Amino acid sequence: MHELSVTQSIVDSVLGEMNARGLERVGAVHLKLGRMTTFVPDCVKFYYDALTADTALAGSELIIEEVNVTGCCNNCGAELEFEEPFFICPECGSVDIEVLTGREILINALEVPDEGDIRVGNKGR
Amino acid sequence: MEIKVVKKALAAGEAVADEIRGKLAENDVYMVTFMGSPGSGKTAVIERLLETGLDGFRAAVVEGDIATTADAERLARFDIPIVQVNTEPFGGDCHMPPNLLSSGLEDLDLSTLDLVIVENVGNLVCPAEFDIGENLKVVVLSIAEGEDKPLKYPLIFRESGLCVVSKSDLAGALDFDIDRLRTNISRVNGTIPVIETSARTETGIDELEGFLIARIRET
Repeated sequence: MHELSVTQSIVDSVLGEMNARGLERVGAVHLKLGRMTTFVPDCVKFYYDALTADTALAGSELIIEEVNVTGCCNNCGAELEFEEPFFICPECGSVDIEVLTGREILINALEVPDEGDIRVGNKGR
Repeated sequence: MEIKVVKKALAAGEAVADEIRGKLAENDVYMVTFMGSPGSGKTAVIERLLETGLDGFRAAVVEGDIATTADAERLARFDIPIVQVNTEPFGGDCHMPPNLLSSGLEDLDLSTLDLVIVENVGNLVCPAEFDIGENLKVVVLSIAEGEDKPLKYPLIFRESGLCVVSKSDLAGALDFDIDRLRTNISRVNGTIPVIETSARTETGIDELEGFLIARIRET
């Protein structure tokens, strides 16, 4: 249910970015969505289409790339990837696990019809 | 052409959470958020906690609900500042967003406080997702909800710094297996402390008070 408000934040954020860069149209928005968030990709896409209908993003596509949950064991240093939310190190049995990826909700790139290449800031979540 | 952006989608909310954190730090105020399902006993735990006197620390409570001022009225008997914020009377948001908490905090004189207790909207999913500037997130799970809930709602147990098991006096009546619950919690988060409480018998309330006071002192 809370996909509505997070999708509104995504749309606002992209519209702000378009405004700042003087972009009139965007064909697609690439979003990185961690698997350890409570946001369901299909729901976000559904709301995206509804919320962008009367904006400069109308007709654009939201492309979601899911990010796997990875972490490292603070005891033995093993690098781990988790398929399920059970955070126990398979190497040493420690439960002291730091989650490194899987919590991000990042607008990663915008596709526009023009030529050129612009790159800005890089702050991970 | 593809334009690289790399921008946090929730950056606006996170900025407000940072502002809240700044204001609290400026006034040397600790903030704890209680999260959990509707009916898990969050308000009752807060009531018992306030009855302990909190070792003289001056507390205020921000009550978050979709609708009604019922919880604020329950706490009115305590001679402390209580603020009720409602997310939307007809439906509403499933969690307390940082901007709403921020407006609630404006009604408090932080310079006169040591502790702000926030009761989030009853929900075992959404409140876990959002940083609202607190020092500590507490998840309250009543034993009536079942031993399997940490496995079904892992994020809130992962994001919290303390799990309060509530209504422990009902364990016998419900054939509740506390060891199974503890095992399930530790599969999701093996480092989270767990305190068993009952608001009815006051079991565990002193331990909870002690935990919180130690955290306030070391911050």
